[in-house]
Amino acid sequence: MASAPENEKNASAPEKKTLTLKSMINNEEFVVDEHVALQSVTIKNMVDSDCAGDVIPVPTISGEILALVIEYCKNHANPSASEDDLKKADAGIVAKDIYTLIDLVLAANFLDIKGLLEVTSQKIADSIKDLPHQDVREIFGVENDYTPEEEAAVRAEHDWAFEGFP
Amino acid sequence: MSEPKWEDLDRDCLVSIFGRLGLESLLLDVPFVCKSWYKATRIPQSWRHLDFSKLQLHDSWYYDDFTSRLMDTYGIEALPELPNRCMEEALLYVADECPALRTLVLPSNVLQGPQGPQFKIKNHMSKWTNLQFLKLQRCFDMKELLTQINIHCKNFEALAIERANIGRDEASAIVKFLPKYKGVASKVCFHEKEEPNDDFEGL
Repeated sequence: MASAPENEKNASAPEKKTLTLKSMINNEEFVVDEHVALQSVTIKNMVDSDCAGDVIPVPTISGEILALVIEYCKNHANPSASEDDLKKADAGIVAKDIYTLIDLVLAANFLDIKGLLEVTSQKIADSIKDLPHQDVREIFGVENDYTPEEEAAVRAEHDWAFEGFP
Repeated sequence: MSEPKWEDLDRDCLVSIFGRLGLESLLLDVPFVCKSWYKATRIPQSWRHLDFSKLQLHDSWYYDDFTSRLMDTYGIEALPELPNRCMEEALLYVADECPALRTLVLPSNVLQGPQGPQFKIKNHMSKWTNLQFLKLQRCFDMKELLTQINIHCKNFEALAIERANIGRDEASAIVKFLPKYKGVASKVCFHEKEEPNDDFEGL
């Protein structure tokens, strides 16, 4: 815990507590106000259980993505931001190509930031909706791993509709 | 470090995305993209918005888009006329299998007498704690339905009933049980066009 002189210092000049987040992919570091970073339930749990050192390493998330995540958290930690402002800012953050969005959705899920997971998922869902599967495959760069027989089996499968019925 | 791929995307993320799609995508497109996406469509949490309004449930010389694509895709040759009992079982099934349900729109041509499935829907509210929007054709016991919604569905936002008899009792139940409510829509009588009754909008 903090020693006495430090307490005095805090009392005379209340400093905002900060955390340093470090991307383990490219070692980029970000100094962030604690209340901003704590929107991530994962980070909050680390801090609450005293597992967080001075620098919190963030595995599997690049600096580029971490910057977007922090931008989101900053916007949402700003008490004077209106709902409209936030909507616009969110839309800006997720207006990215499909390869950035996959990193972003993974980061939101890993860091457990509910709002960011929601807006990112919605953005991705919007680009899937109403498209035939061939187009989805092309846009998302997904390889077709079905053999023709397997695909036919899925097509022939409508027993699901009667599951649970006598 | 290799790039993440959409087909290997974490199951939680896929479910978070697929839960924002509706019946049409989940049945007709997503399962055919790749195997892992197909598997994620089998997870109940992917089924959060069930809008059956476009689904025809009887044999006809003409099927609309969704119904005919559904029949094509799954090799269904004719739609059986479903008896009331069957719809009740379907609702029971949805109640048990879709705990994350947010939107439910029942098909317009489901049999709907006072003992029909739409009458029984109030019995399922306790399972759908996330429900936000419900649309029915008829409702015979609105007070009880609203009571159940009030008890179980904390995030409930809007109720639409195609043909409802809203008298004094029902109106006071709306005010009493749904104070945080964003909207009730109903066409009380038979109108040509589907439009919400202004009296109850924005309550």
